[in-house]
Amino acid sequence: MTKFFNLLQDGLALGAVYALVALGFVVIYRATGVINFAQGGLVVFGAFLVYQAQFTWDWFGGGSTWPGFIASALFAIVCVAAVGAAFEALVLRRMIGQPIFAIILITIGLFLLVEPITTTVWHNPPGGIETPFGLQRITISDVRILQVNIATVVLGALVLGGFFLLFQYTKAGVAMRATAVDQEAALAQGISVRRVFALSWAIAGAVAVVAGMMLAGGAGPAPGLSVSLAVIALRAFPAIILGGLDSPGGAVVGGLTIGVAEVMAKGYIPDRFPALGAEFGDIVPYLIMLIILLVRPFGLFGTREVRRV
Amino acid sequence: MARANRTMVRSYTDDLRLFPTPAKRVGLVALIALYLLVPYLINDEWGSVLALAGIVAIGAIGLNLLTGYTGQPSLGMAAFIGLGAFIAGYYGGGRIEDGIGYDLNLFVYLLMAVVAGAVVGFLIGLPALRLRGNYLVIVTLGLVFVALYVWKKWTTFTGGNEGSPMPVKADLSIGFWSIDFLKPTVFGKELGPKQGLMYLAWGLVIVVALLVKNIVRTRPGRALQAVRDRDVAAEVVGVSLFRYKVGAFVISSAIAAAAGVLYGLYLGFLTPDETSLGLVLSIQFLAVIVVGGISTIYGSILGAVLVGALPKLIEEFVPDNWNVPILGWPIVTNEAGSTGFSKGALATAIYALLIIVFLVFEPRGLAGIWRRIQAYFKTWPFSY
Amino acid sequence: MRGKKLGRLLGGLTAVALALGLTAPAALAGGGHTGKTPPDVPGFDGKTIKLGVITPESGPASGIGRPLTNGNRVYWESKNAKGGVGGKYPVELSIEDSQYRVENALQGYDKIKGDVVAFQQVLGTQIVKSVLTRLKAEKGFGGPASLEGLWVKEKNLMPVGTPYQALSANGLDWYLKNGGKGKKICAMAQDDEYGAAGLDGATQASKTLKVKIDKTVRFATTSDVSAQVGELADANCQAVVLVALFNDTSSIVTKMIGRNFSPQILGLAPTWLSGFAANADFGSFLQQNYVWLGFGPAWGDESVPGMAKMIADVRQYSPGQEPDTYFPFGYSQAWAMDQILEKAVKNGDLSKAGITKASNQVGTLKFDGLVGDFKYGKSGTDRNPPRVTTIAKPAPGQPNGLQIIELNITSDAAKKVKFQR
Repeated sequence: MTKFFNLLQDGLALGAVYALVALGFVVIYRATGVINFAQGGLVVFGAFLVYQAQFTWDWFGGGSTWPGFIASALFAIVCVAAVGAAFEALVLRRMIGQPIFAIILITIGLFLLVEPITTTVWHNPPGGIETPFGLQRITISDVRILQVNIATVVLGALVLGGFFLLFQYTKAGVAMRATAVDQEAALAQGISVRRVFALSWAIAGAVAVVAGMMLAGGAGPAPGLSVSLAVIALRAFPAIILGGLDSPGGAVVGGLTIGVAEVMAKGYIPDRFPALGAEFGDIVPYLIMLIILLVRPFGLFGTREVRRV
Repeated sequence: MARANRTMVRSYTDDLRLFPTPAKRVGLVALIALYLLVPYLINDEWGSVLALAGIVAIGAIGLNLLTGYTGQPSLGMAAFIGLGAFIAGYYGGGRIEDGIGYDLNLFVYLLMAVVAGAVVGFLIGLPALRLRGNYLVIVTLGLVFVALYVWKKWTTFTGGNEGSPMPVKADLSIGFWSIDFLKPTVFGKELGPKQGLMYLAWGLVIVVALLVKNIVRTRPGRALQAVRDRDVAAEVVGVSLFRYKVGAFVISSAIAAAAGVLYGLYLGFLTPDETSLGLVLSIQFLAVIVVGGISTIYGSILGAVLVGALPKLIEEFVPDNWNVPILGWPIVTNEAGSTGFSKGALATAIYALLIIVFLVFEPRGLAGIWRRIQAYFKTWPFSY
Repeated sequence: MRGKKLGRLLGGLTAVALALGLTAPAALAGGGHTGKTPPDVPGFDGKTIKLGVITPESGPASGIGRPLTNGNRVYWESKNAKGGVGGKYPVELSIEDSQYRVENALQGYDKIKGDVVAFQQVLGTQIVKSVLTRLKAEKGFGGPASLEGLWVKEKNLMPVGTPYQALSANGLDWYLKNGGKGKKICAMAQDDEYGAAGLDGATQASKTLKVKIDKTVRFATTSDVSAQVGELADANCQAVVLVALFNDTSSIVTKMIGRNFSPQILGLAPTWLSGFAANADFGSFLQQNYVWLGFGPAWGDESVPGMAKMIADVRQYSPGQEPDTYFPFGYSQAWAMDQILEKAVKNGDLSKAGITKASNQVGTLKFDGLVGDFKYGKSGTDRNPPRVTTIAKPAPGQPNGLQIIELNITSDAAKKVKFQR
């Protein structure tokens, strides 16, 4: 039984990271209808900027102290949000009306740009980002949980709550929802669609930084700073498909589910089906995604799109 | 009476002709001459680049059929390339030394790869019927990873983690005439494997281009484009979505598998991992058709040559340590640890920028640019 | 009639005379003196010898490629200052950036293969395999920059250093002699060629040493390893042979700490990064539980003649070079190539065939303790790689963050390891 709980908490920790990345996707999709393939790149970029503030500039003594941690996080958030908004304004704006896959390709292009830029500016720094949690753990009966994992889950919940408040109760949030439903109608109502788009990209950038920070700081699979963080962000796709492309709650549920499924598969399958091996767990998310797409394409919580042919 | 011209035709047959004008026919002869002579004369360094460009062109034409003409964006190329390459390794005699696999003629295993690609394409095309745009891209992305897992686990077929050596001879025999593409002898002169691969690759490019062009300029082609533009309306009008969507997958996957066979021959050895058969490979093909021009055949070829030659061009023409003029900020540098891009990173960055720039400013790609130049000269002196 | 016979006789005599005239100097030169310059071949113009290098100078693997290439470079700069190979022929390196991608590597290979006599360094297992197919076809010769056991028997390759299999075998043997007897031993290996090699060595050794490896887990690089670590923890393993790369080590170790799982970690050399010893989060965990299985003396340990030679060269030709685990490997590669080239020059033949022949005649490659001596026999299959391993413990402040506890040990288990092909 302890094995189950250990795997569960590992899965939830991993899932929380996926959820954070997925939330970034959802924000942009909700407002603009575009899936931002570059989200993983923004995650990496954000992580490196945090590193820059913590190590190279050594603000407030680095990340292991709370002031340093928060300051570097804020710095990265501002920068990446700006990059996101700028990209949207300069590049994506011109693509309105183009076929969907052209837009997808542009975001893929942005994704490709991240690697040469990060390796050129920062080369390959050893080690990762520091968090005030380090590797301390708390113990609940027999199960040991890393503090940084708990922090990630808490952050995920906070972001989700923040989104809820944003979308329900603020003017900007309502504007975003209106734009998602019908751009022209929103424009007719006096909503600046341009601003909404820019805002959604900025928010996605901020969320990406949070995800990258926790990822590089010890939560989830591979603490440490390298471009392979972007690969991990790819695993968030099954999360958004499962949860529904335009549902933040769905992103969180999807992320957690995928994380747990992946870890459980790795934990139990090699024993029962040795032929499949441990790496089967790595493709379980994609298999889940495939099944969901065949059975319920709009995900658990997404809006139903009716197109019968 | 005026002769048939690209812009003024009087019958359907005339409209369909591949080489209607004398200019085009001359161009055809020139191209054939190029095909025969270039590998003969070129050195190994550029031969390698052009051979790879040819292989990429084959895959790109297939992808263009699927994505450009039918509107089904797919990131799954890497899976089919891998399929083709491992078939070549297993059936082409790559591992015959270890007593595994078979040692068959190039024609045979190329055909096998095409059939296998078609079958798998069919299987993928079926669920793809229900998916559009974003969703299809994500699913095909997942396909790449699932394929990698399968290659790693299926050790008899692919050699698992160790990978699979590729055939060292690629012989094709038709009746009394046979040629080994990896050690060809043309008019008495023995050429290297790169030159042989150039002949093979570009020969296949011609075959595939003709095939796809024929599909595209006739009724199936129009049906595909109808599916791309408004699939619901197409179904209403009587275009069977099942037939054309799945059919596009079948054909493009078969072509991709053929490209994969050549890719395997080119590499000489293939291990199933992310660096050789991963997402980046699939993205590369998408980039090629975007840069070259979506839904044009010769665009894919142009794009393939540009993208294939890009790293080489950068290496040749970008100086080792290059600073922004006047300001002196380093852009390219050769030493580790100092600011500035390395040439490799610069290549990737330019590659990504090309995608973005072309998509924003010239969505019809290089083919679009060429058409503009053509139009300019055609309407000269009224080209405003 | 007579004229014809005479003509033939004369012709025959001329032929013999010519033959003697051409071969005699070569025969004389083969006697031991580099009296005559070897004939010009691609890569050798009578004055300079060119060697090719295919390495990732940029991209993610440049952290390995650059110091390795620097090691090649420094060795040759030092040797060239003394005149070069045979005292007469300096060596020039022709470097191609592969960016760790096979297509680029192959294009680089094609570009320079006509201008070099051999390849000093080819980095990357997949890349070496692809290049090897071409080397075999063109009868070339090259030095792979990795410790795969596969290279040992390839006559077109110049492997250097203790293969991974022997490293893990020695590690297991050392552990059993140092408190490991009767303990539960497990293994965690990456799911690729390298992982398979390390695991293979441990498995072969376990048979020789008559112990059992209780649990083996595999994992894909940069993926989540909680489940795998959990399995080992649940099985209460007391020692884990770790075959991974340094970017996975941190996540594996973090998960172990998270589970309060502190086995004795026997980590192969690529698991280590110098910065780990001083790492705030897991440095102390590693100091208590980790043991490094690599080879060679500590950087700067001048009691070992090979290291002393290398350090002297570093001071003179690359004073900015930080202590590094890959640099000595590159240096030894160049040293190995030097010994082979010396033999080839003595034979008067720097062609591809000549170099391969020289590699079969050079006997044992010696490195004065910098890396293990490698016996090159009369053919590829007749080779015996070094079976020595150096054991070290993490220690912040020491070069590379490691403190050596046993230098160049070997064991029966390692000696009995077999390499396929």
